Amino acid sequence: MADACDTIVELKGVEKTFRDFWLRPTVKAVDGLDLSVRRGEVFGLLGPNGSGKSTTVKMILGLLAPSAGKVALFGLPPGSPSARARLGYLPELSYLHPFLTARETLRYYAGLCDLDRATTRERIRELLDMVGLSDVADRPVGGFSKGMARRVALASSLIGKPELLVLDEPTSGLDPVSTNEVKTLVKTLAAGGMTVLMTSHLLGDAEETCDRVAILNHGKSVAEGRVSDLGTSLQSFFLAKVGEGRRFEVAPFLK
Amino acid sequence: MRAFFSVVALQLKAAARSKAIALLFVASLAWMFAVPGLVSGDGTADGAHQVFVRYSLWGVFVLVLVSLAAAGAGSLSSDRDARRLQLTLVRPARRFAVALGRMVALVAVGASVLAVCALVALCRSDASRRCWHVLSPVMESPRSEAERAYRRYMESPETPDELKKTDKRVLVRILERKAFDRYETVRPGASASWRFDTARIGADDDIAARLRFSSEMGTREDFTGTFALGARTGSVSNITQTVVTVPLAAADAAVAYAEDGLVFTNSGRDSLMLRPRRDVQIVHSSSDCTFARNLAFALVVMVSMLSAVVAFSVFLGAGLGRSPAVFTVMVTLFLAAASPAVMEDYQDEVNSGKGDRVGLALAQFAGVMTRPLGSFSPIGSLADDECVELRDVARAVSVDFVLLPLFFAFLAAFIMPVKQESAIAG
Repeated sequence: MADACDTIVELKGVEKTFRDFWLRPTVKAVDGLDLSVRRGEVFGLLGPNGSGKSTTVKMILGLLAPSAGKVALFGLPPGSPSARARLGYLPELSYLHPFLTARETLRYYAGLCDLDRATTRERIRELLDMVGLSDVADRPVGGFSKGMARRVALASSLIGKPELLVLDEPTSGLDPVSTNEVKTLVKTLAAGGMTVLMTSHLLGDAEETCDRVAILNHGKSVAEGRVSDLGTSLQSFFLAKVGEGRRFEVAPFLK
Repeated sequence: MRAFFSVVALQLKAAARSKAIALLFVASLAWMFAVPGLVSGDGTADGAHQVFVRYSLWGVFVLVLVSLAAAGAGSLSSDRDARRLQLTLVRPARRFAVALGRMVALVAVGASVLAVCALVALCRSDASRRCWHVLSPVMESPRSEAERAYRRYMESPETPDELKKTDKRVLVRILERKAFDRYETVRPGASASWRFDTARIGADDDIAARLRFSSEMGTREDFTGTFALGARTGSVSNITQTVVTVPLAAADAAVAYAEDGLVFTNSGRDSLMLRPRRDVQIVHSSSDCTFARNLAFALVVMVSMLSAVVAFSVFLGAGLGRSPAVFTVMVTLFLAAASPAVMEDYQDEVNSGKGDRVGLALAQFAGVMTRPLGSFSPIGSLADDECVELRDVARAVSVDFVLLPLFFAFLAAFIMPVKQESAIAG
């Protein structure tokens, strides 16, 4: 059992029920979830579409309040400024301000993290070098390709030197080269001591990157453990836990 | 503070790189130069000045107000709709700073457009043109007069029971209106006097009595008589203009205002009817109030009014989607503009129906809620060469520029995560 100080994210009996305008329950997205992410590990939150991964991440980030249970980030409520100061977040899509340049984007987020001018300048230079965008740093990001925009978003999530980096589907929609770059970067950051929590439904990526995974299905955790202890491929393990899905009858359509 | 300045810089960059704001600048300047060609005055230099100042600045102010109200309503809501706002909300920045930063940046944009247009107005006018301080008679407040009249009615045995059963608030409101509009008749050969706070008039000031007739009750018929304020006097004869300004010349160079009453003696053949609270004023000019100073003060008041509207619209954008927020702020602006006229034209009546009462109550509510916007227009004063007084500037700055934006930023910070959650859930 990990030491309490080493637990960065902790969820106990967390539930999230979405309600309509009349407050009638519509969907129970997360149902009694217990989870803990320890310092220095790369933790993968896996599951099919609609399994509750993104909802869980948004509760950890403080963007959604749980309907029941408790979420703690560094032992603090997730919405507190001191917890948010130690957090970096890369959403599923980059969501950048198209009129800002890459440098201005990073400067904006540096300001939100309360970095002073000298640190901001130094950090922006390092991050632009790291993601290979120094040459286009002064071009508006609205004209960037998806891969380049992703790199800007990744750099901006790291601007505050976070202790915990939350990545929501970090390789979603990227070409193989960009995917490989992101995976290498995550591994490098983890090797440097950063804790990473990532969601994915791309099992190959997760298998390659994560130390530990939890598999969600219908809002519940159906399995949790170290990737190295699975004894089989993550793909087989996942399908065994979640099911193979429906088999489409295409023959009548093709006739 | 760094987070606040980052948000301000972001919003300023968004404005600087937006075609809409560039268009606003161009349209405002075009309007400033087009007004003299589009609206003609009465042929005099003063008339041309009045028309230019009133319509050019009024047009630009409305344009800026509507544009920035729409921009403010879309500021947070469009970022939330594009899911960018969540990236700001997961940072350690305070939401209050995020909302206030948006407001400040938009106000800065509006202020710069207004300042450029004010500079054009200044270049096209005589900067040293003297303006008038306006004094109204010192009288009992209409409210207190109404309360007194109400008590008298209730105690009187002659008052019909039906009237006694009427809601006190409605009756007092009707009486207050009547007190405000109460006519005084000055018969031929008779005099009337009104007290003024003359302590504010300097010894070297030019002074004039001014009557502003604004009714259709036949009061614009010619009148003849003499005004006197202490040792200063002025005569008027056979005047039929709506606004009559009678210079009061000193009979003695060393004037002391031993008496602070303005006396009018009617030497004409007809009675003169006027409403002291509305129609009678003393105006005095002093060297401290030039057109340039007046324009600067009016600009500060306009920017303050703009701040209140922008703050309200950013708050709406924090709690509503873009389209409902823009719609609500536009309806509010319309109500702010329309409610004073509605209250003027449709007043309480003892026997008014329930539907009318509801409509009036709504108009009155809108009037009260939008009072910071509708109560004082600096452009009218500026065009009429009336001084925008320091107390009006102080009130506008403290309430519209400071308190309301802080209040709406606080509300926006409170409502932002609630709306963000419902946006994610939706």
